[in-house]
Amino acid sequence: MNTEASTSETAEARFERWVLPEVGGRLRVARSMTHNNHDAEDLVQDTMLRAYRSIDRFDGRYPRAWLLTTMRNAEINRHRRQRPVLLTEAQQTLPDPVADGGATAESTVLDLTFDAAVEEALAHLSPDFREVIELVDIAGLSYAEAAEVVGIPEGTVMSRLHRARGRVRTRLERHGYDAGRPR
Amino acid sequence: MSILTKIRRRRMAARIDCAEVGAVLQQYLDGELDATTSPLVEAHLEMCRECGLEASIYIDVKDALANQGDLPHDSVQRLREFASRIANGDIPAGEHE
Repeated sequence: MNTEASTSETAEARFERWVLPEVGGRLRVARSMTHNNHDAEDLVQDTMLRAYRSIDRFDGRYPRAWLLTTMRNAEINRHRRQRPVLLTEAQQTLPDPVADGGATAESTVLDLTFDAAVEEALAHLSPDFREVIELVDIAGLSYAEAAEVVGIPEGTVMSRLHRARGRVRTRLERHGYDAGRPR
Repeated sequence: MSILTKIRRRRMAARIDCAEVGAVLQQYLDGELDATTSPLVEAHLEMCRECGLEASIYIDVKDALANQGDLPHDSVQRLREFASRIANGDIPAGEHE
């Protein structure tokens, strides 16, 4: 299949070829970035508009990586548009029931299903670690594609991914899951 | 599995030790390991209970992470319609940059 850009192709045809098939995958990443469905849909719409505007410059290589970079820029812009007070509120650290320990935390976390426990563990990762998990495990990118998007070497993607999964695993064990199953 | 196959698998499994498997396990599970080492890891995971269990933990974590990407059908539908309208020129996306 020819994935290179053809100069005779219209912007609409290019958009249909490279962007339309990626809608579902980009929504997955957007949900991870925004943590709510409404903002995720807005972000994907914004990404698609930006992609359409710049599609003449896209060379047809790594369409997923190109769309993810476009999405990251759209997300940065979305945060810039928010009022400073909202940013401050959004940046406040949520209490960490597991780290805090105690009976209340235990009763909270033991009720989590495995998938919910994974979601909770993912939410507590640092942005660098969460980013590679979102790109590789959720969006399905290869190490090379993820490296292209983040702008780091492939080896760094690999090491961040390994450490991130290790932290998810540790947190799951603290939630009462051993080898991925309830104890 | 025949006895001969078992013997062959055991020989393959013995060509890589647990520490070596641990170092490349996640690459193997991500499909990023080279074609020479992958079959050795596969055989080792079949034969070594401890490494097999370690692999199953990460398979469960990877599966659960992939499930985080399950999408609401109506959101996907709305976005596909939006994308189709852009492609048809129904939504002005502004001047091309």
